[in-house]
Amino acid sequence: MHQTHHDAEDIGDDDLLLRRITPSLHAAAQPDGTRILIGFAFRERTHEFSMYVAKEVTHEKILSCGFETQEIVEVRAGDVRQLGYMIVRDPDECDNSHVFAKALAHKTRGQIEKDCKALAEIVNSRRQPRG
Amino acid sequence: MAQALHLPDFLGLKRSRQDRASNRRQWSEVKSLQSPAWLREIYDRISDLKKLEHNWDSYGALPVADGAISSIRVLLSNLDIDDMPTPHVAPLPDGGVGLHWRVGSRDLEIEVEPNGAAHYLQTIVGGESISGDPTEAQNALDWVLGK
Repeated sequence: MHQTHHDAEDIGDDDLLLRRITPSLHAAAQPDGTRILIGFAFRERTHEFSMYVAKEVTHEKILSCGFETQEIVEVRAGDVRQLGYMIVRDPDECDNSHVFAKALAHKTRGQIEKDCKALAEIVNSRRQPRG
Repeated sequence: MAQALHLPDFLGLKRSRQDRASNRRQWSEVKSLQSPAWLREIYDRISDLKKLEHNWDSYGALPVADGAISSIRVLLSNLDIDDMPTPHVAPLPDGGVGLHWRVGSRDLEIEVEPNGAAHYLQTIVGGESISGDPTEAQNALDWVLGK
């Protein structure tokens, strides 16, 4: 069944979106001892990656829905939109603040791979995930 | 009276010097199973990905597919990786497997899908990304090292 999605206008470009990642799998150790997030951290089966709206939920709540080995990374809603996605509200069993990024137009696997890489580099430019 | 023992040429010991030189030209260079040092460790890490269960990422990821594991092993065995630093091995949520290298500002991700299809993404950190197929993977690896 066709479903129409809408960009959530109440989520501003400067609002932070939270995503659980597994550092042991998706943070690569560098020779200088730092760890960098890799693009695979944003990938999902559906090619529509899940996040939570930071102003509406705590990190603890989001982590409680995942695994002990996970941690949170943050991106701005505007970063996701700039790559050609809308932020779609989709309350889930974890929290009502759940959203997913939906491409405005069809994107190939390769394009999504590039977008996920770009998001990972945005995270890397702002913080160094622990691993 | 002693007689010379006549042995059949099972091992091709009687091949001429010229034949041996010809063979050297026909066969590719022999690679040591120990080279590079990280390869065996990486094979083990790739195998360990099979232990991941459904929903390993807490977003509904699939277990890593056997086809992806065998294909990425074949891919690695066909590349000249002697000078490469150790890659990071990562599972993909659709059952694929990924490898990641970063040397300076050069970044390379190779991924193999569950059906064995492979492709790569090379990125200058802070710049553009270029994707390609496995026939160009060796060029991408050389690019990471600045060759």
